[in-house]
Amino acid sequence: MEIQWPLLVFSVLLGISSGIYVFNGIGEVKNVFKEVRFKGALIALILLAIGGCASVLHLGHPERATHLLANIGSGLSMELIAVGLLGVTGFIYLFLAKRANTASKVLGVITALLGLALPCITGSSFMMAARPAWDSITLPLLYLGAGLAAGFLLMAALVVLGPKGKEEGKFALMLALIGVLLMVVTVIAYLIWVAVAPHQAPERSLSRLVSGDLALMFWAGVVLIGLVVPAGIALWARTKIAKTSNAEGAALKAKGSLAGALIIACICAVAGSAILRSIVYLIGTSVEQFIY
Amino acid sequence: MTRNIISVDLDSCVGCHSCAVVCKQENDVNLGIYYNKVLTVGPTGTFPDLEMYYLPVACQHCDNPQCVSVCPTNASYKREDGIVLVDHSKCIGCQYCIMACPYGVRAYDESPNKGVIEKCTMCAHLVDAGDKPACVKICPGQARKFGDLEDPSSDPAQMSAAKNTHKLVDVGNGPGVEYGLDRFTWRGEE
Repeated sequence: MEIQWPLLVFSVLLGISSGIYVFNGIGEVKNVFKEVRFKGALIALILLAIGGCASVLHLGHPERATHLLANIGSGLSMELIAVGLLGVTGFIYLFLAKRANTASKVLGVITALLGLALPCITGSSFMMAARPAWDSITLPLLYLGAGLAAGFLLMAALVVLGPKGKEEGKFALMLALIGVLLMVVTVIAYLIWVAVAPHQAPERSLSRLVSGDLALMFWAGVVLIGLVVPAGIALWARTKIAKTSNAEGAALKAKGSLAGALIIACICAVAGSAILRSIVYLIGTSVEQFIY
Repeated sequence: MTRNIISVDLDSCVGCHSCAVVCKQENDVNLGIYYNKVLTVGPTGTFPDLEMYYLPVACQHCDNPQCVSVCPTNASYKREDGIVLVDHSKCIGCQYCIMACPYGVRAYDESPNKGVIEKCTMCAHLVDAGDKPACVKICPGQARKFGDLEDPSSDPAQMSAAKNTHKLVDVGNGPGVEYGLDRFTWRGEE
């Protein structure tokens, strides 16, 4: 089907937001990243708000939103509830993020759990038998993997730039690397689904991505920019900080280049996930595409 | 329980598109939007054993309509008599139902005074007045049959009893429309 740009922007931004909340939640539990939690929480809330506003652009009649919870079982309603919950708890967490006490820990964990749930809920709302290329658990996992990668990379950059970059950078970059690896695994899992989905048809086949009209988007956009570059940078950064964090002066010099590289990795991960989501729309044809 | 449906006898359908045209007239359907389309299936086979038939496709008024289950505002609903409709006063135009439909028979009308989902209504306004849907009345080949499938004396039930019938691919939604076809080989996935 046609790319639904407002929904694509919404899902990408909420993914980054979710990744940041999960990173902060880990930091709360491990008593690290205190200096960057507020900045991260603020960025996450802003991204969630912008994404939410973008999704409204998709609607023909947003003023009828009062009817929106009439069918709680609808994927869209569940998405709305999850976004609302994360928005409220994320807003409250803003006031607690700098305090590093029990309350911040509790809210940090709650927002982290919601951060894990939200991309899955968003992705699962697209799981429908009518569109075989979407009808798999690999789709919500794809959303989650991309969100964790982007969010963790961004937060790792903030940690490296912060006052405890040397002490906490290794752990932050380990998380960033894990996030990127999760993104790679979830992308591969989704591609496997595309290859084995029922009701195979040329317009939603894996060959369309690998060697067809979507090949350039796939290889350049998804594989190279979206996976190889972030993975390469995350690996390099993790290795670099492991070497320099023991040396007094070197860690300070590495800050700028490390953080810059991580930001580039984050941008690439976001771009790659946006391109992959475009592909997901384009191969999301219905089982029988009769009229449209 | 009443189960109103429009069944189509493909052996009688000549592909004149009258049903598609009258549907647009009756329901004042905007340009670019289609409630009903007549597709050409074929030619298939090898000369001289060639086959071709016409397949009118509109909303299948499914038994388990996915468009209804995904609708966040309950704008999409299934009436007790089986007709699936969209309440435009509740429709927010999220297009979720379009994604959920296996047949691509719903459309988003983005013209300024619309912004809602449109599809075949089985001419509910005519049915409620005791009349038949416009496409059924206009069909010169009398290929379209309207009635209560649960009533053995109805036209759809009689066609179902007399012919080999087929439905569009079912992915759990239970399409309601039966297509009668004896003369040729059904080319759809079942």
